[in-house]
Amino acid sequence: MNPSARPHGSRFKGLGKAGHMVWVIGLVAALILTAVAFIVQQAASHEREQAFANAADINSKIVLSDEVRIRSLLASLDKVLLVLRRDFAQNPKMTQQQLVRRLDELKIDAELDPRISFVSASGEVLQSTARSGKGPLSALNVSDRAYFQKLKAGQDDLLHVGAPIESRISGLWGVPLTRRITQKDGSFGGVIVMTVDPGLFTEPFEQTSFGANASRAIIGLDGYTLLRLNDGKISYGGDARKSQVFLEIKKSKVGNYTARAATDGVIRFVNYRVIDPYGLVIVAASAVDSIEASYRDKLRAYFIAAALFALLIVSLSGLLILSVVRQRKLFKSQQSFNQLIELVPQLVCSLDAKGQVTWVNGRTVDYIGPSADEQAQGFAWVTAAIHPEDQARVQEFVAVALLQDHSVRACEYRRRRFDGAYLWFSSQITRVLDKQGVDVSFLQTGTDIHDRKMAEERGRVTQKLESIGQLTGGMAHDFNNLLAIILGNQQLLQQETLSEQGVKRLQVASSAAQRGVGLVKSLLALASKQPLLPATVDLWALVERIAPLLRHALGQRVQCEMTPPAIQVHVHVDEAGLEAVLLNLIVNARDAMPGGGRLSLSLDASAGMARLLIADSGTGMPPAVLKRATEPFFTTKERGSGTGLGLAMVAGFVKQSGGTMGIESEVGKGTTIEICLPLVLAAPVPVAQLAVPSPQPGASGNRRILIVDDEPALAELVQAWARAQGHTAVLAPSADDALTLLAVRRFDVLLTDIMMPGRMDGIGLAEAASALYPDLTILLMSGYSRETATNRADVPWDLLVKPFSQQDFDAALEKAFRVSGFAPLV
Amino acid sequence: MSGACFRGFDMMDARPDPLRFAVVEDDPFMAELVRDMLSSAGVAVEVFALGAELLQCAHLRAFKAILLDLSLPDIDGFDLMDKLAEDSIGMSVVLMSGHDLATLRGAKLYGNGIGLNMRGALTKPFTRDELLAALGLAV
Repeated sequence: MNPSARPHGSRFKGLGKAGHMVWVIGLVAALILTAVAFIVQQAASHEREQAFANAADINSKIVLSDEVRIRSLLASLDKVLLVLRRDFAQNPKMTQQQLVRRLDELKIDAELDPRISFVSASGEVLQSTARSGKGPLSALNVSDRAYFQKLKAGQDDLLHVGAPIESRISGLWGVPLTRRITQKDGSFGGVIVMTVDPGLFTEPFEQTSFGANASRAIIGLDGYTLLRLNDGKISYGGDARKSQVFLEIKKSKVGNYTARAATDGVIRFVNYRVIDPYGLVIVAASAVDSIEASYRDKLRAYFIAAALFALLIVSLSGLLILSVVRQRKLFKSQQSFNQLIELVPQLVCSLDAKGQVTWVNGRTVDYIGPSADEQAQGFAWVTAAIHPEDQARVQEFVAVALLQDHSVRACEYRRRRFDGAYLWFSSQITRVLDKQGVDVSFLQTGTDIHDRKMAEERGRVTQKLESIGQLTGGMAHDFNNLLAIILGNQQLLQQETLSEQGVKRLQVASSAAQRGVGLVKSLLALASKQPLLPATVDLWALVERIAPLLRHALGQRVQCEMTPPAIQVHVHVDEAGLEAVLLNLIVNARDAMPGGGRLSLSLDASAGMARLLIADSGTGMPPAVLKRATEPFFTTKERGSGTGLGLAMVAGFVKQSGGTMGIESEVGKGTTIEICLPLVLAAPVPVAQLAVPSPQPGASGNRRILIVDDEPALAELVQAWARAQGHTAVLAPSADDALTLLAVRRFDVLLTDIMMPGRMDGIGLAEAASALYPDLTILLMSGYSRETATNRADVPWDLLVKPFSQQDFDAALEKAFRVSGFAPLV
Repeated sequence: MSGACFRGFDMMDARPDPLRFAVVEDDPFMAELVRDMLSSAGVAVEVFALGAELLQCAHLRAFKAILLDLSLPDIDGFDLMDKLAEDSIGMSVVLMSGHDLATLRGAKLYGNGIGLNMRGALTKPFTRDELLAALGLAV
């Protein structure tokens, strides 16, 4: 049966595949963490770009403003240079005074304070504004100067800015600004040199810089450093040929790059710009460390946020996985609980706090078998299946179990099965508590105890019978004695002369005493204290023999029909007992037909059973009475008129005789009693008459010997021999008598003839006796040889072959006693 | 007490009386009843309350028959029959008992088997006629 197939069976659903949840949760968490890592990385890289862009912006602005300033500075100085070169061309013999005057006329900003020198093609200084303290100007030669050699080699007519040099005239440091002096024929005519203070270039440098280790420089394309500002310190000159910028300007005249500075080893982010045509590069650089430091705090904040978020995700998914696993465990335990509940043989239902059924197991449905309509309307059918007589009791039980009693109690009641039959159930209610100990629901189980209940019922009857047996066994003897005295005296009284009233009273007393006699007999029969003495009986012959008695008992108003069997029917029963049974049944039938009626008695035989039917047309019995009909002391007759033992006795007798008894009854139609007894095929054999032996004188015996022989002469002889030995010898003429004697008295030895008339021969007797009395020593005797007599070789008992002498007998007895080894009889 | 009474009777007349019966019955009322029943048929009765009293009776063999209750306080009915079978040849015995029929029938068989002349077995309660019939007396 599949519990989920029925609506009430699927208590727990939708919880399957919980195992996959763990993987899903893990995967989602991993995805979220990856996304967070990606976002953080993106943000970090964005921040870095922003910082570098910011640095580039600042540096490029610095570079640009430097360019503007330097261009205007150089342009104004170049203008002076060009005017003086023209003047010098017109007047090569210009004196120092003329030159100074001319310079003043040009109204150059005093701050610039340029020093002008004219140099001949051979490098001699022709004229200069500088005052030389080292001797005449003509002695000076600057042909070794880099600017001189460069202009001499070149053809262009451009302003050249050279590396700072120490003036040979004034001894001051200055930056040489030079132009070529070209002859009319185009040949090199010398150089005009303007030397300015390098400080002219430094002025704006002191203002802006970006971060620590920021650096700015003006570099000549010839590979020198015009000026460098590094971390607030200004330096002039120096070889710059190794600078990265020379590689960069080949690609572009404006741009930026990152490189480690050769001078101080600091990695910088550099912006540069080439200033044409002056052959200069302006450079502004920020240390990468400083740039990165500017967004490092932000970056740290990002990482901390991301780490916290990751931690949150991991813990959340962990908790989620834990709860899924727990739920899965719960589901599994609930599932096994569910399976268990479907597996148990009990009917199980759960109740809410009001005692209403909220769920039932499949077995309950199978057992009660409600219709689809009933099932559609909830669980009312569960309660409806309880027997109407038990409804109130069950309701009270449920109410008590729900409200007051916390222990598990049981209630026994009848419950309707799908086929309409009511069967006994034992019900228990268990409270299901949650962790706080609050009632959540109630589980009610119902166990089928029908068989037990029925067995108890039968046991009750059996017990009643047994106690009656014990009672009668002990009392019947005394009771019979009392009755004998009462009846005997009453009988003697009848011979006396009594008054009419005295006679009447005596009759009443006598009839009461007679009833007492009947009661004791019934009790004895019922208790089976009176062993039946079964014999093979022609059943119909017996019926016919007592027919007049039966008819008399029935009375005039009952018509009696007797249907004989087609064949002779023999059964093995106690005749007297069977007579009593018939009489009992006839009297019952008569009492059931107070206004007269019809009784039919018929006998037939089939399937190895004789079937005796006694049917009356009487009042019949309702089922409740029929159920208890064979129960001892159960009677529907008036008090005093019946003992309640009649049918009980009949049932007991039939059962003891190996038969069965059935009763069919319907109110208003009558009752039919059926008695079936096992058929016996053999014809009855008359039991041999009791032989009357002549008693032999002898000493008091110390053994008790039972001698069984249908030939009295020999038996008496053997008895005499036994008595001579001091034994008690008892004679029995047949096997049946021998068994009766064995039942009433203990014997030491059974000596039996083999060939005997009757239903049992000596071997049969020996077998029966040894089975019943294992201590009994058995001896066989026969006129035939062992094999002929027994017709078989496996008989275990010793055989005395007739004729045998007293010595043979004594020897056989002695051997038997020796072998059995039993103690002398006390 | 009844024993004492009949001992005097014994001494007066020791000859076997063809109609002198012994009754072995411990219940005095039952004993009286049997005596009355038999007296009405003209039979003399000597009552013994115990089996030992009967066995000690000097003129035991003089009794025409012995009415024997199977249940006696001092001796088992079967043992008493054994003793009777040893002492007397062909003693007539009638058994009386409130026991069930099977026991009574077995006891009768037993008596026959040891050589007693079992004249009958009466289940209590019995009528006077049944008693007389068992003793072979005319009703």
